[in-house]
Amino acid sequence: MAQVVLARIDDRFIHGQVVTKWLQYVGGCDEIFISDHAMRQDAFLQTVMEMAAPPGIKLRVYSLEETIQAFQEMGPEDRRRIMLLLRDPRAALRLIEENVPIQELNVGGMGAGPGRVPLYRNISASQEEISLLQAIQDKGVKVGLRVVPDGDAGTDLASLLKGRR
Amino acid sequence: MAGNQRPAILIVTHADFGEALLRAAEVIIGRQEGVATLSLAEGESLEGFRDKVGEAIGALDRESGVLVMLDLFGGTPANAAALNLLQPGVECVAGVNLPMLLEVLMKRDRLRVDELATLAVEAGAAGVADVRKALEARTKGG
Repeated sequence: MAQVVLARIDDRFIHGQVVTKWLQYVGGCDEIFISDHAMRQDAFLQTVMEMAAPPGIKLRVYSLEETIQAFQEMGPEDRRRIMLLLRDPRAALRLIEENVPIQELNVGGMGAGPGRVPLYRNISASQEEISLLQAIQDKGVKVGLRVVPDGDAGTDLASLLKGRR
Repeated sequence: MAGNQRPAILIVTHADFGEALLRAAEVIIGRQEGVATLSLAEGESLEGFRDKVGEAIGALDRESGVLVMLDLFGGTPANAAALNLLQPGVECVAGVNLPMLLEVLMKRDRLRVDELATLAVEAGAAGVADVRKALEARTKGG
């Protein structure tokens, strides 16, 4: 079965931290899936992401539905190592509910804005997104907040929310 | 065409690299007009920063085009700038360094923005050297 070597929420998608640090940390991957409806609709944005992807790694930009279908169609002989990049917790929860094999969710990039509260370093979320992350955690998926794999201890959602009460 | 027409320059980088690079260039060749810098702050999204780069391009005198100089090919500043390449008169080069910036600033009165982009890539690569090897080559050759 194909393996999700990293499932990450990052609204910059493919960029320096992902390409230089995370890819090395997880021991490389064969393909990067960006699972995002808005990007799926924007051919130019897809081309720019393809350009930013490291040489030798295939980028696939899918809608959430296409992602779910792609995983459903993977056979047991499929040995691809996949990095999955998502825009927000809603996308992650949807994929997890549809049995996309995400064991652990890395939250690495969600920007600040009106109605959003800082969670960890420069990661912010709306109240709704915090609830969605909790729902993901309740499904047994470990939710970790970490921008880069070293030089950043990171934190997990459980202890973060415990500390807030 | 007016004699003083020249492409504007926008340096877009992670943290304050662009600002520092411009200061370093100005130490060497003096104060520059028509050059702006923009930093990517942590926590900015790709699409949000794309719009900021677009605004920064729009704020410059675009008569002779804008050369956008980026620090890292594949990084968010470069990705966000690439998303502005559909605008006419905009060119982007990645891997900005001091040799590249100096060459661009010194030649931009004479070149179109697309020519300036070509020159920038050449000058950036040509400015990288192993100093010991350069020295040894000189000693042997002498």
